Amino acid sequence: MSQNLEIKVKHLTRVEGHGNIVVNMLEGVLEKAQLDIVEAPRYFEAMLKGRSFHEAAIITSRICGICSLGHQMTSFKTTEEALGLEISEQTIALRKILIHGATIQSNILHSLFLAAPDFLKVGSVFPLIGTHPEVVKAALRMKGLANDISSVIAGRAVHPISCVPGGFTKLPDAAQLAELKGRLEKEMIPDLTFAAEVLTSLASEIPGFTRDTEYISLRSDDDYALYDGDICSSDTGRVPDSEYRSMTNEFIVPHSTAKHSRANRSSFMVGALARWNNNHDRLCPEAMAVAEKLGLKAPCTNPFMNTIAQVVESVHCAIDAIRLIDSLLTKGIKPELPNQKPTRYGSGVGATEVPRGILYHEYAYDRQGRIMSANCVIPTSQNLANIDDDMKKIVPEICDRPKKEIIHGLEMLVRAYDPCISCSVHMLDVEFVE
Amino acid sequence: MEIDMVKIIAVGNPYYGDDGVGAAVLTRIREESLFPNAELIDAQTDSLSLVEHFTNDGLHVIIDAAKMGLPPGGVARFLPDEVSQRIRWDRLSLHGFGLAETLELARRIDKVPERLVIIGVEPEIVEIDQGLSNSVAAAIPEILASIEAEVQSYESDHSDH
Repeated sequence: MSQNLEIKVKHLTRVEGHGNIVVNMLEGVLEKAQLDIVEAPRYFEAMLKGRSFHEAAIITSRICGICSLGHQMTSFKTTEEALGLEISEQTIALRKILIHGATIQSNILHSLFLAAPDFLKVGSVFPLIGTHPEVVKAALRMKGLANDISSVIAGRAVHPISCVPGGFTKLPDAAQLAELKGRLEKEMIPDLTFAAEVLTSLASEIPGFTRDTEYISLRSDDDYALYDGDICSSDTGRVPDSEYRSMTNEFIVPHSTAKHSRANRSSFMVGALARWNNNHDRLCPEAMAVAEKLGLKAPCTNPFMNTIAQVVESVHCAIDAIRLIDSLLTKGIKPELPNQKPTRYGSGVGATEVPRGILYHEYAYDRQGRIMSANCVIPTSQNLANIDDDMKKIVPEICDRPKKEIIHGLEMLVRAYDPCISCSVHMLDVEFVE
Repeated sequence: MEIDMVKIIAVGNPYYGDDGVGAAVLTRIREESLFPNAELIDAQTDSLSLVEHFTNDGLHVIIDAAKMGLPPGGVARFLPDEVSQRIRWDRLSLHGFGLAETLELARRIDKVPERLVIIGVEPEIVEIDQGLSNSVAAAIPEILASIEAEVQSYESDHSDH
């Protein structure tokens, strides 16, 4: 066993933003195992102050180019609650389809382009193109279709424009929706099935590490909760989203410009694996069949399986998007205008499952409809303490291996969480401790 | 004379100062009704989506702010093979997929257009704000002239003599 170990991976690749892995072991005693977050803070919450309700989603969606849609949806729900804006069933259905598209896009990009190279023990997606060119093409096709879902329903692929608080400024027509449905059936489902098969062939490379932790996700009575639901902990059950602060308890640690979170233990996990553990009973049979093929069982306490849970829920998203489009086509698209007449000015909380876990926004509005204060709690921040706890358990388990292998194992662990570090950094007072 | 499609593709974030140069060029093209035969594409920060817009034939011109070591507002034309040598840094970093990685990916799956030109513009200010620096705004006529030159050269190569 290696008694002394010192690892510092600067600027981990294939994650969004800047994080360093730091491990120190002295004479067999682990002194440090953590993910240092060194991304510069960007002060989005301060930018929201004094802004009107029309601007909140436009600004917050800029927190991230990958999860822009998730920030938008969360922002709309927060504003609608704070200002008492009722929205229609049609608006909810369209938003759910958008969330499905964004979830598929992000999950596929992560599982096939960022995580799969780890299973093949290669440094990037490029060797994967050599060995599995068809899966790369399938991933790009799926990404393209997800972009088109956003373009058709929300006017633009990145940072959508026609979805606004209270509804949509422009609605898709039946022919466009029918075309999307056809492509979901003829392209997306076969591509997802193919991707699942390829990952099944790589699944033996997934490390057999486990650590029991608390899993937190949304949960709702009637569907696999992504767009909306109560906050659900695998330890303590459901609470309304207004109690998000007691479920996140953000605190500052010296080694990260992003805050850490905890609920009932020293850490908890959010994201696809947490959703799987809490909501697998809400998945469609097709997604459950893929889970079985990929060896994903509930409850699952192996964080490396997060990547697999992403593929499983993507299948559900595609099937459910088809169902939602069918229902919209049956009812007919109603020419509704967005409801933007506030019935009150107060505070609101919005919680949405975005690809990396629960995203919370909270705004308080003044009587002129301007934001007085804002708080955003990002899923990657919620996962950081859990990543550190995983590292502290995994290092002693693998410390007798060659250093290169230890480093790869740790990088793979962090990447399994699909962290979006750029999003998660929002601290106002940073002091670096050397 | 039948002209193949010309695609003018902007990449970059218009809320990030000079990173929005591509979008600003597209806006100018629309305002002045230039390049009536061209398809205008704003890929924003999603460089991977470029692969979806690529077709094997036709001219593709990509406009991107990139650090190349030129004075601010400097404009350079180069080909896909030169991207990794010419661009030291660009803001397209969705999980590390910048322009160079995207073009490499396209090449590996045989989706690189036969005629693809990148017009790089040296940024001065890349910070969250709204608007271009004076030096990059002043470069827009030169960028438009570069696009015009590419279109002319492409059309003369493809016209029926």
